[in-house]
Amino acid sequence: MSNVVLLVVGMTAVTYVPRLIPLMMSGRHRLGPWQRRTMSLVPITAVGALLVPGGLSAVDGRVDLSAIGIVAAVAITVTLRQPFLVVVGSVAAVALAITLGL
Amino acid sequence: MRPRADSLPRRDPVGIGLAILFGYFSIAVAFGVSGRSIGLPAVTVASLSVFVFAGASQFMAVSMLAQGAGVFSIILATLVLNSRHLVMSLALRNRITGHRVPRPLLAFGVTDEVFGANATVPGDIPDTDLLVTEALAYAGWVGGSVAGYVAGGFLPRVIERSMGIALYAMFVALIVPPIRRFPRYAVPAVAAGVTNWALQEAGLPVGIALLASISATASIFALAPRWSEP
Repeated sequence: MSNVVLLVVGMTAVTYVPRLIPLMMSGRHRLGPWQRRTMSLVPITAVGALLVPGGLSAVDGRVDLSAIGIVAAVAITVTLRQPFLVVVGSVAAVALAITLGL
Repeated sequence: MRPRADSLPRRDPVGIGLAILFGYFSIAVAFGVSGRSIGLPAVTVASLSVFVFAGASQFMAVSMLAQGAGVFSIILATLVLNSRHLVMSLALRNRITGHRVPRPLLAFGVTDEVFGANATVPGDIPDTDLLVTEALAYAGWVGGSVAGYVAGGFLPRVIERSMGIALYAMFVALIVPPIRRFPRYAVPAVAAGVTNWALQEAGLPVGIALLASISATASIFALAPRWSEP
């Protein structure tokens, strides 16, 4: 099995099973408070870990260009709040910086 | 004063579904474009959206591939990230009524947004209503991914070079709103970033460092309700 097929099959399985199990159970079940808090924190810690240090070498491995993109993304998220505009604006800011000779 | 009956939120599966469809479409375009920008073939980008149908983990997978992580650490990290859907399915379970839609089919479409839109409206959820909302959300996600991949082929060279930031801009768009609402969330987020950076500096492979920092910081901060509850 190629790596790509393995990746897709594996990600599909580990995503689908947690969605499926509760719908197939009978009776009442509840998670403990620590488990619930861990699961609600994971998206936050995941994004934190993905951004540092990966986000700082996103454009050609260069910290300056990447930082311009991240700062632009934060500014647009705070003002416009539209994820699509955040992506477009951040890419545009980096493209502008490259065009201006950075 | 009691709210008038007609001012209560009403269940509107098509309206909710369309709102999610448009939101997903635009985010999926970014996914398609960034998948292409790191050199993934069309069939890989499309099959991630068709089979996995979980936005944040798909962005994470592309980012981990770009950073050179291995397949198994990406799958494990996906498990850690998507196990939260257990909580959502569990919460929906007791409210779904009817037996016209097989539960395994409904389970496939339990995303954050499908859950969130249903969680805010009180009362029973007919299984057919939930399926309609899920199908519209799915159409937006898969359609947007393909559209993004195709559009990515028409971009000028300087934009293509700059596309590397798209993924991370997406992550910023995901993390800034919850932190602005609940500033204390910044602490576990920064802790995870610093831990990941330190583990990579210490020589751990990227995938293992990400996996360890994501799960360790989440489970440690979850010990203290002060840092882990909104």
